[in-house]
Amino acid sequence: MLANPSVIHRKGVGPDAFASKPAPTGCVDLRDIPMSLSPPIREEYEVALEPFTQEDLARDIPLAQRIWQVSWVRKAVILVALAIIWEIAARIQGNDLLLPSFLQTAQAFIDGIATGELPAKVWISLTVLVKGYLIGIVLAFGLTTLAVSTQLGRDLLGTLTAMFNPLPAIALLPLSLLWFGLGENSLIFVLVHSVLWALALNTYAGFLGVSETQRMAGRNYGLKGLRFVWHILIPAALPSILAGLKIGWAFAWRTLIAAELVFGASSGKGGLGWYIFQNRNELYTDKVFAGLAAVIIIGLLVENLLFSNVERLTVKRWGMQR
Amino acid sequence: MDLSLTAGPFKRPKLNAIAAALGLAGALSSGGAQAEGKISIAQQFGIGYLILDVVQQQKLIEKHGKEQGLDIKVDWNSISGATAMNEALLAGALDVVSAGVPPMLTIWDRTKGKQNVKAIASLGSMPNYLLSNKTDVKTLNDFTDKDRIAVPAAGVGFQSRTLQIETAKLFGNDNFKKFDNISVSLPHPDATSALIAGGSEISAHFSSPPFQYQELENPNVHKVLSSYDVLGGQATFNVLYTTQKFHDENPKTYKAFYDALAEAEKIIKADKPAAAKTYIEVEKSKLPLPLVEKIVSDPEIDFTVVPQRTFIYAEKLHELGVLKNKADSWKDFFFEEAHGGAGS
Repeated sequence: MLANPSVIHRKGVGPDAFASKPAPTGCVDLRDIPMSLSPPIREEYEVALEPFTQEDLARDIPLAQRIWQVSWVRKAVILVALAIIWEIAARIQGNDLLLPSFLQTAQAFIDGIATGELPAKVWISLTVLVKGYLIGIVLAFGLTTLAVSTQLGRDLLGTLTAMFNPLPAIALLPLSLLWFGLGENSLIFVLVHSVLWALALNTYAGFLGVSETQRMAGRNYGLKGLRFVWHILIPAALPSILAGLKIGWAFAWRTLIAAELVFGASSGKGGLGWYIFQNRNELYTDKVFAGLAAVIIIGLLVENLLFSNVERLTVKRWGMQR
Repeated sequence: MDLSLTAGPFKRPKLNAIAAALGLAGALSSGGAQAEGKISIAQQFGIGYLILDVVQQQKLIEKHGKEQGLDIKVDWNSISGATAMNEALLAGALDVVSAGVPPMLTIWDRTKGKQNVKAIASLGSMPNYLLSNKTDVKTLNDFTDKDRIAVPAAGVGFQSRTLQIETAKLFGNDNFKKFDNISVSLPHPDATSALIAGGSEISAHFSSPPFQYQELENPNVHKVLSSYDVLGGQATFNVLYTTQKFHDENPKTYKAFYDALAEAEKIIKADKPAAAKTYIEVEKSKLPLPLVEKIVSDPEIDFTVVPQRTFIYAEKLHELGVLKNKADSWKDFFFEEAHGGAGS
């Protein structure tokens, strides 16, 4: 109403005025309706607001609920529940050769740490793993850089990944043993194989997804070749690269443990897989579980300390990933 | 449609259902009690299992079962490696398994007071040779960090344990694992070809019959150590073992099995060339018959069900801390049926 103040409102005119007219029978003669249509005027009035009595919107959640909303508490509860189910199942089973209880496993794990056996094995595994992983990363970046800069490189990467990515790294172990002998080198070879293709595929997909705007911005600065890859493509494709690094890490870890289980000690100084394998042979099932627990814990640490921090400092900070 | 059939899987005891849900079904499902008249046996490959080959070919278990008025169904399996044997036995997949003396002692030690796994009988005494193709390796002292000793199961098998006992003798009990660091796990056939061919890192092989005799035919290969030197004479190589439960619940089947083994021993001793033929036939071996005959009639080898010098392992491995339980005599880890013979 306020939008059109020039309209004059009068009482008795408007829709109310028609109500007194007899209801039209048959068709309505449009000429009967007054030409100047204006809505009725309603008396203006003011509603006195009641004093604001509504409670504060922010309410105090009960303490229990507040604790429950902390994510690590929920995760801890899940873990504790699993441990309790495990302990009960083991007690019912009553045969620690087949299923040692949670407490026995924890004891074996603590003993392993205390005697220094477990950390030593973890160290052996990790040094081999990091070597293979780093070589794999360097090769993957070399291949993808080649692929984004030359046509032949693109075909090379496409063909090689199609050929080798589906090939399980562990299947190459016998070959690798023939070529590099019974030692660390053959393990590193299979590790490189397990990291390289997954990472190259992810990185290349990431590079292809970099928007034309960013590419043109780079060219505008006169960036070419390696500098273009380093300053434009890698930062822009970092979410894919990080995903590739994570997948590569998991593949490498799995391959290493499996390789150690299959061919045992590389020159007698086996790592975590060897620890699991030997204890299985000696029927120390609790130590087998402790070895598996070590694998899981390392996986959690790498994910939660290394990768999540890298993500926090880069892609999350840059607003590329939620 | 018969509803009771479809409902079947859901009527299992609760524990099983929970276990399956947790993905532990494989680990937890223990074989149910078996009725008399059924026995499943697992053997490994090699001339060391000749007694079982004869039992199998001549159907001796069935024969001794019938003498007691019992039809016995025998199920023969081939499994490689003591670890797989032990797991199959514990999971209840097999009734009787066979492996070297040390793996049997390990499982006896771990199951004492629970499943009580014990040995049934010996499968014969035979030497295992540590061989090398490097001329300058004449004794254990000559091995360096660059050498590699191939064994079927590094650290835990018969050959590794024998080597550990000898190492403890030479270098003290604390250093008994000294050679574990240069041991690599390789199956006998692979290790045999590696040692004969030369040129790989494998410079030694703790072998077994019949492989060791094949290897010794090569002029570059020589003997460094025999398991008989370590143990002080003729000693049992392989044993058969089972759980207390099978032994107690199947007295007739067990007796038929034990009698069959004893008869097989007599058959082999009576006609060694025929036994050699049996080995080639049952194991489908490609070894030449004369070589097998030579091995079977070798005076060092005795196909006997009586355990010999097994107690040395029990004593030494307990001393080294490998076994937690101390055995007072070899009878502690053999079922009473075997106690009659002049075992040791």
